[in-house]
Amino acid sequence: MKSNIIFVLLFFFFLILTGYFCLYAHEVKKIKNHMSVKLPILVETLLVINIFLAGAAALISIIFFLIEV
Amino acid sequence: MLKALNGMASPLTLPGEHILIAVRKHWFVLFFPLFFIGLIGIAALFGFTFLFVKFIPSFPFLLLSDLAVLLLASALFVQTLVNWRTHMYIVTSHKILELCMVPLGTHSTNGVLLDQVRCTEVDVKINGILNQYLDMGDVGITFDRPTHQEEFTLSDIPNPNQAGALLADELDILRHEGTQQSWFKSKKAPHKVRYTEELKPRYRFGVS
Repeated sequence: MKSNIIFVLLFFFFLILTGYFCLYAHEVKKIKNHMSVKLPILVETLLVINIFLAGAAALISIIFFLIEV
Repeated sequence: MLKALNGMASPLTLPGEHILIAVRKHWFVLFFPLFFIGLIGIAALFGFTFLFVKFIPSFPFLLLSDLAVLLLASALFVQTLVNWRTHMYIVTSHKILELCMVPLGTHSTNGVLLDQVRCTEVDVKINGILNQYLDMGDVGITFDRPTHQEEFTLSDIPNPNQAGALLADELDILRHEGTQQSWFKSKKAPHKVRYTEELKPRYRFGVS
């Protein structure tokens, strides 16, 4: 029962993190276009990887919750 | 190192305005924040792994906690790099600008119009052995205003000596360009001095 609540909390945490990363990437793109600044390829790749990783973590936490239930 | 950054400031300049210097802070300012993010991230990874292997054996919690730590460390890493990349100093023939655009945070532009102020000092400061070795320091430009003095500091920039010398020269040239000469020496007859108003009568009394 206790672990179920933790999985749900983790799901919401990763969901919020995914949303934050999406907003952040969008804002970075806007600033990049506005200032004509080039970002290192590592940063751009990490921005995309973070979104997918946070989404995957949210999915994994909800799967674990369903298994527990 | 002192170069216009790939036309970065082109939307910021007016026709006839040219960029003298466009610099970011030295890359070394990133070293300590990134080092601490890495150190704390690795320590948290080991801590959670130890916790969920030794004390509370649970694979789901181990996986999710490690993912959370990785994501947070990665987010801080990216934020530090982006903040450094979007903070820059631009000196043009008309103004000095400090641009700081933190995504989902502060957007600030601090500018000084050079035709409204008189530059009195360009100071270069390099502190410590590490900064000497890396050639990193501050360039302070002091403006003398009728009411108060203001200093604009380009902090932790690379090649501060070169930047300071270049700025001092350029600001001096701009100052002389701003003042109107009353007397003019012809190249053909250097011994003769002519009054400017005779050459440009339409500028007399400032009326075109």
